[in-house]
Amino acid sequence: MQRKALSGLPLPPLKEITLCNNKRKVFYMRRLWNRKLLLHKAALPHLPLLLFMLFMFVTPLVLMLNDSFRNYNYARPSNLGAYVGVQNYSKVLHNSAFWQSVGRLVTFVMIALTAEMVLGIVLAHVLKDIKHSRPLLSILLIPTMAAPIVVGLLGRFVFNNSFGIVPSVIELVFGTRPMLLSVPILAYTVLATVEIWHWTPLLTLIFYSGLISLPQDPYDAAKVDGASFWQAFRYLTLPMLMPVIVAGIIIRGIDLFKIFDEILVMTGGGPGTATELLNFFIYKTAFRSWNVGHASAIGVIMVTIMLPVVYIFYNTIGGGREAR
Amino acid sequence: MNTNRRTRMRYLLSRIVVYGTVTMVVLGILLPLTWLFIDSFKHKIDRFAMPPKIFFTPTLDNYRFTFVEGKFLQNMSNSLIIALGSTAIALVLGVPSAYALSRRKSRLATIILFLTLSTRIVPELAVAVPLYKYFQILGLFGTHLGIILAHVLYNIAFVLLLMKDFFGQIPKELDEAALVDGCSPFRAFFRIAVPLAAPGLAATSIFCIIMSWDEFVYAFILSSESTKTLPVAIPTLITLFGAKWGQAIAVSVTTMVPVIILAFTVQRALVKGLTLGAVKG
Repeated sequence: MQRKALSGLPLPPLKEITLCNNKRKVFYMRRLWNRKLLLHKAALPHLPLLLFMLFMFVTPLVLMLNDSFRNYNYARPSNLGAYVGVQNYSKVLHNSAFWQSVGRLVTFVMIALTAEMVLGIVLAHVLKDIKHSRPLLSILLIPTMAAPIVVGLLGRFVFNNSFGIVPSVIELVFGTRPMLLSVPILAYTVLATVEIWHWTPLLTLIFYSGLISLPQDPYDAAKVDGASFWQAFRYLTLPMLMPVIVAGIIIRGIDLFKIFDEILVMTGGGPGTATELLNFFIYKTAFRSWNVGHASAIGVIMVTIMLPVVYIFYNTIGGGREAR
Repeated sequence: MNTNRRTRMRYLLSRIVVYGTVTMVVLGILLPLTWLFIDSFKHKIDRFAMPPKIFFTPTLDNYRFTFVEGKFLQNMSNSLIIALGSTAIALVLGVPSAYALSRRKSRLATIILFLTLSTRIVPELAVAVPLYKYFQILGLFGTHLGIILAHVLYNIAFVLLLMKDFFGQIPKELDEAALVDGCSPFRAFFRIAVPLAAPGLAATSIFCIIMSWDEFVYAFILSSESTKTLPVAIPTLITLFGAKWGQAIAVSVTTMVPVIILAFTVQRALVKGLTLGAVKG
């Protein structure tokens, strides 16, 4: 590169200038990025991941926020992409189908979560009580590893009205054949049962590993003092196991909130809209009614609801305490 | 004498309850899956027979219709390409970051951890709605690359948290010693940290392959006819106009069996991964 002074005056030596400029540049960049955020050698390993997250996670979410203020109804393509303000939100929030799906989801999460936690703790105690539990732990992993879609198909197969084994057995015992997947409340129950079957083993494993890592001394002391099993459970096991229980509630709660695959293959949201939970409602709005504007608004609402969960998750089990 | 007998009775009763429960749980887990497995070898007539037939002539027809005469071999290769590709990219992106997270605290690390955790918590469908549009603009819709990228997003939290844990188990003094001896940070990472964390790396990659193989939502929304994965192919067989149960069950079994076999090789990492590192398996 030719170094010529425009005014004809001699320039100071190259090295000094660049150094000085670089320093100034770095100084400004540092102020810009607030404490050498990206311009530090230690930031290098994070950069590819950060770029990927910007490209694949932040951008779509920003786009979704943008779409939620626009008219994107592909089924009615007039005025596509026009800015409509908060109309999508107000329409969604005044839609009774939306609130019904929210209500169903909340009920579903509470029922399934309670059942899974109670069953998980009971089974973990049972597992702790037997001698050779190693092969049992492997068996418990099997449903956990089955894809949700496969479990959904299995559920549809087992509870099928015409040839499922469960209705047949009930018919054999009670004399009447229940239409398990055609009656709203029954279909809902069957869905919850399948979900509980699928994920209780994981919770059992979590609680089991929590139980066997508890210290033994308090139990010995309680035994000497004549405490019953229930007292030991209430005043020793529960408090000591609390971190694991909280972790289990958060992890399962998040996954239950996202339930979709099983519904799609088992009931398809039906009968009617009985098993249409929030995720399925988004799917229907976006990819069956092609109303992407409304779906984006629901998505934004969902993400906003989940943000506090992210914060709780980060601070309890996500390693946030170590990172700071 | 009397109390002694009573305690023995009580002990015996508790044993019966405990082993009874265990037997019921094991049967409850294994029976439906075994039944599905056996059913995949049944003729149509045997499958719908009532009461269910235990003895029947096994047949490979379901698999032949599905994979030889049907187009499901393509779904399988799609699944394989997407699982391997997404795992490779997720490892390349996640492992250096996980190493840095385990060694040094910084504000950027906090941001990365927070973003990555939120990918697990934000529902996949809420991300898939804008991705559907976004990918069509970028020309990634319905391509292998698009689904691979989506699955990287799905897997990156597992990679980051699992690998952070594995790197954390390696003593810091080892790479500090290397740095003092004049090793560059890159060399310290590739020559010391990565080889020492190799078992963890293997477990993490197997875990990611399993997760990507089982993943449904992204693959379902973002795939076209020729890039459907095995899980996405299952609902196409169960339609309003009639269900091809034999083929659906055959595809399900093919989806499930390799995963279960792989899972037994990485049991400990599995529980840790599924709970995002909250529980040391």
